[in-house]
Parts: sequence; structure tokens; C-alpha cells
Amino acid sequence: MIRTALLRLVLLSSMLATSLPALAQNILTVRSGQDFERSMTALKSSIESHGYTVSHVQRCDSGLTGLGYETDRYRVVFFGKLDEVRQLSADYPELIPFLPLKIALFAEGEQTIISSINPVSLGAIYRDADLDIQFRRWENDLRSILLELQRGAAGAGD
Amino acid sequence: MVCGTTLLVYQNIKVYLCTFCNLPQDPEYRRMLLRFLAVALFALVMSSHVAAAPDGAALYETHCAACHQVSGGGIGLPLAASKMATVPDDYIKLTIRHGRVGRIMPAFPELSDAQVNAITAYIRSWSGVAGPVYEDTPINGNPERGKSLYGIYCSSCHAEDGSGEGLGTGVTYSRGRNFAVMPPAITNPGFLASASDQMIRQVIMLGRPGTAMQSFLDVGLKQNDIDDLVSYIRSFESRQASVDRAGGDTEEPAALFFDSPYDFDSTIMSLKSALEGRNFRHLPDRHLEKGLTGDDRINRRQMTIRYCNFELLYRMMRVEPRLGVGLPCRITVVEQDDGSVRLIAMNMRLISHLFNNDQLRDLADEMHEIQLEIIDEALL
Ligand code: HEC
Ligand code: HEC
Repeated sequence: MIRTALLRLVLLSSMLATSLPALAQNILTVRSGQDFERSMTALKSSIESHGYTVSHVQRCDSGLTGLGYETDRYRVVFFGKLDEVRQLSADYPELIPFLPLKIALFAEGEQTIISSINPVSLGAIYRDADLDIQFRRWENDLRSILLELQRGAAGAGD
Repeated sequence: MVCGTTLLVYQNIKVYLCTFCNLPQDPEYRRMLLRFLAVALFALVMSSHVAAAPDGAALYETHCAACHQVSGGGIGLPLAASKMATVPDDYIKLTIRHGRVGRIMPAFPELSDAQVNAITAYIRSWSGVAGPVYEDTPINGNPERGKSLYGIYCSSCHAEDGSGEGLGTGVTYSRGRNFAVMPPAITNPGFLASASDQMIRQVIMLGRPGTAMQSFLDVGLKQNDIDDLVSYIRSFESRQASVDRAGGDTEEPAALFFDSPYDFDSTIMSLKSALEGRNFRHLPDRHLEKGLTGDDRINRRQMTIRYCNFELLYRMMRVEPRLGVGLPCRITVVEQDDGSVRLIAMNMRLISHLFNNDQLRDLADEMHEIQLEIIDEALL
């Protein structure tokens, strides 16, 4: 009797858990209704509120338009946590090309596209249980950051 | 049903709690506590119930809108309401399931049937008309004849092998908003697994109004010509490997390692002069940890050398504007505890795989070769 009760509870909670989406696209991308400058500001503060430090912003647009590219604003934002970067680069040097984490954002008209590699897609390459946990944690944070930017559009109004 | 479960669980909790947790014996207090638990549980069950009826508009916003703008822009084919009214529900559902392998659109195997149905219903709601339903009877035209008709009427846009035309697909981020839509890959396994023969016949007969895809009945093709074309397009299905490669595993390593015969500083010098010799733009070097903490605390034995071949980079960005997420032109020099020095670079070949974009493959290979040459020269 009690066993079945517990079982039911476990079943119920696992039902709740699996009703949450568990997606694994390789590249996470959202579109924000906010323009480039506002998205940039929102991105930085969202990254920081998730406990990361923005280490660097790289401009990639010099010369883009000259080559017929249809956006004149393109940036890559680097961010990380010192301890994480230090520990992982020592234990898993193969992760170094992906550190610190990066989010690219670029203008599409009055809107902004914000995109990042889904770290979980690297899991299929490394096949390491500890790294998997790390990748999932990053994925959660990245999804949450991107969602905040996408939602920011709703408040901005157009 | 949901209420039944709630009640059952409620009853069981009552027994469970009373037996094990030494619940307070005061009946009034017990009743209150149990009532509270029942309400909490009901809320829990209701919230899972709400999640079971997914919101199509929100799902579209999350999973599709970054690429598919209803009114053009974005990447891939615009999903105009008038066009979507002419395709069957199954075509939309199967396209979500299979994606377009090698043509950017990922497969979405993780979405539940209910979620896929909700997205489809949402797309349906744009026009408000029910989608057509076609019979699945295969069309038995003459593919050989279809092939020559294809060469005359179709290959100029859809390419000789049906893989689409030009760089990019649909309208890409990197193209002017006023540009025409780029023709899609009609021999793509994802398309063939989603579209029935009857649907392909309709598209060829009626075209896609408002796009370069015109009605070929208007051009003067007869019904049997169109059937031959359908059979030719269908014949690609048997020649292809798998629909579901989109987003699958790869055997490629993510990073490449090279041992340096030199010490840390000489390796950096040597790498830089190899870059200069090739007329690459060399961006300022950065310690891996720079910006994450004070300059006095960073690890000085990890230096990232950044360079750029803009011409090649931009050619890649035309086919994949999101390329910046990888920022591939970087090689990191690392001194290990034992004093030995290694170069670590991203494996470019991973890139076309990650982006599900076949057009990136050759460019990524080209970049890979250049990177190897630089490193070879630096470590000579
Ligand atoms: C990363 C970009 C991307 C995402 C995300 C994406 N698609 Fe696509 N989609 C494409 C591209 C690119 C094509 C055209 C492929 C080609 O040119 O061969 C396409 C084609 C399609 C088509 C065929 C259109 C036609 O005219 O026959 C449908 C339908 C479609 N997508 C629906 C969706 C839905 C629904 C979602 C969300 C669940 C989605 N797509 C997510 C890029 C994307
Ligand atoms: C002038 C260029 C042009 C020519 C010629 C042309 N097409 Fe198209 N075709 C397109 C474009 C552009 C689209 C995408 C339109 C859209 O959905 O926005 C398309 C769409 C299609 C589709 C739907 C594919 C999908 O993913 O939804 C099929 C099937 C197709 N064409 C078959 C043919 C065949 C067969 C011929 C020759 C008889 C042909 N086309 C000739 C430009 C062309």
C-alpha cells in the first residue's frame, strides 16, 4: 500500500519532469524584437546575472558590409567563470577552443539574432560523464540567457 | 481521470504521512494539513495538465521563428500563410521531425507529438483554412523522361542534382531583404520523406505564387510530363543514405593538438611569423583567462593567437551567418606542468556538422588545410 503510494508519487513527479522540453539542437538561436544596442546591453546583464563575467567583446563587422554582407553590426561576447575556465582548461585541454563561452549577436534590420553553440552537442564527441554534467549546466544557462533576450522583445513593444 | 489520480494519490499520502511521519494527532490540525497538501497536489497536477496542451505560438517562437520569419527575412523558406495553406498537415509535421539534412534546418526528434501538432495547428491558423489531404498513391511516371525535362525546366534553379542553387538557402540573414527566395533542395532526403508524390505534383502544377516557382501547367507542361518529373525527383530517395543525419553524432574530434619542439615564448613567436608570412590579419594575442580576473592573477602560460583571413571567413559567413559562435581563427599555445608546449586549435571539420550545412564543408576543409599549413610551418 505504502510502497504503491510512493511509487505513484515517484511516477507523478517523473511525469512532471519529462513534460519539460529536453531539446538538443547543436546551435541555439533566438530572435529578439529589440534592436542591436538594446540586445547587447540586455545580453551583458543577463550573462552577469547568471553568475558569469563578460571577459571581452569582439567586433566582427569591420569590412562586413564592404563584402556585401547585409548586417553592419556583429559582435561576439566572451564570458566565463574564472574557476571553471581554469579547472576545465587544465583537466580537458581539448575544451580550450570553446573557452571562454561565446554568444554571437548580429542585427537583422530592427531585430537581433542571438546565437551560441549548444555545449551538449559536444558531449557526443567527448563521451565523458563529468563533462556531460558540465555541458548540461552550460546548456541550461545558455538557454535561460537566450530566452531572456527573446522575451525582452515582448516587453519592448513594437 | 486526472481528478481520479489526484484523489488516489491524496488517499495514499494520507496513509503514508499518518503512518510514518508522526503527524500531529490533533484532528483539526491534521485536516488542515491534509487539505493544504491536497490543494498543492491539485495545483501540481493541473500544471502538468496545462503542459500537456502545448502552446503552438510559443513553441513556434522558441523553435522556428529565429529562422522562419512569416514575412520574409530570417533563413530558409519564408512560411507565408498563403503557401502554408496549400501543403498538407503531414508535410509540416514530417518536416519538423526530419528537418533538412545538410540544409541548416535541424530535425526536432525531441518534440512530443502533441507539441508538433500544436505548432502545425498554429501555422494552420495563419490562413484559417484546413490543409489539403492527398492520397498516398505513388505516381508511376517515367523517371528517364523526367530527367531530361528536369534538365530543361528545373535545373537552372534547383541545380543539376536538385540540391538547391547558389550560396545559402531560402533567404539568409546575410542577403538583402528584397532578394528573391533561393530555390530549396528538392532532392533532400528530409523533403522527400515529408512530401508525398501528390503534393510534389501539385507544387509543379500550380507553382508557388509570389515566388520564382511558377505554375508549369502555365508553361505548357502536360499532366504526364509532370508525373515523369515527380518520378524523377522521387528516384533520388533510393540513392541517399539517411534522412536523420541532421544533428546526429560525428566521429570528428572537437580539437586538434600539436606538440611544439620549442619553449612557450619561441612557439608564440614562430606561430606569429608563420601567420605574417601569409598576409593574415593578426589580432592582438589574449591570455585565455584575460578579462575573467585581474591581470596579475591570470595564468600566463595559456596564450590565444588570433588571426583572420577575412576573405575566407566572409565566404563562410555568407553560407552560415551564425559562424561567429565558433570564432574559428584561433590557436592557443599552452605550456603544461612538465614544461612541454602544445598548440590547440578547433577542428574546422566539425563546423559543417554542427551547423548541419553541407555548403560549409568545402570552405571548412579549405580553412582546415590553411590552419595545418600554418601550424606545420610554425613547428618546423
Ligand atoms: C536553423 C534554421 C531553421 C529552423 C530553426 C527551422 N527551420 Fe524550417 N527550414 C529551414 C531551411 C533552411 C529550410 C529550407 C531548406 C532548403 O532550402 O532546402 C526550411 C524549410 C522548412 C519548411 C518547408 C517549407 C516549404 O516551402 O516547403 C517547413 C514547413 C519548415 N521549414 C518548418 C519549420 C518549423 C515548423 C520549424 C520549427 C519547429 C522550423 N522549420 C525550424 C531552416 C530552419
Ligand atoms: C526560376 C526558378 C525556378 C524554376 C525554373 C523552378 N523552380 Fe521550383 N522552386 C523555386 C523556388 C524559389 C521555390 C521555393 C518557393 C517558396 O516556397 O518560397 C521552389 C519550390 C519548389 C518545390 C517545393 C520544394 C519545397 O521544399 O517546398 C518543388 C517540388 C519544386 N520547386 C519543383 C520544381 C520543378 C520540378 C521544376 C521544373 C519543372 C522547378 N521547380 C522549376 C524556383 C524555381
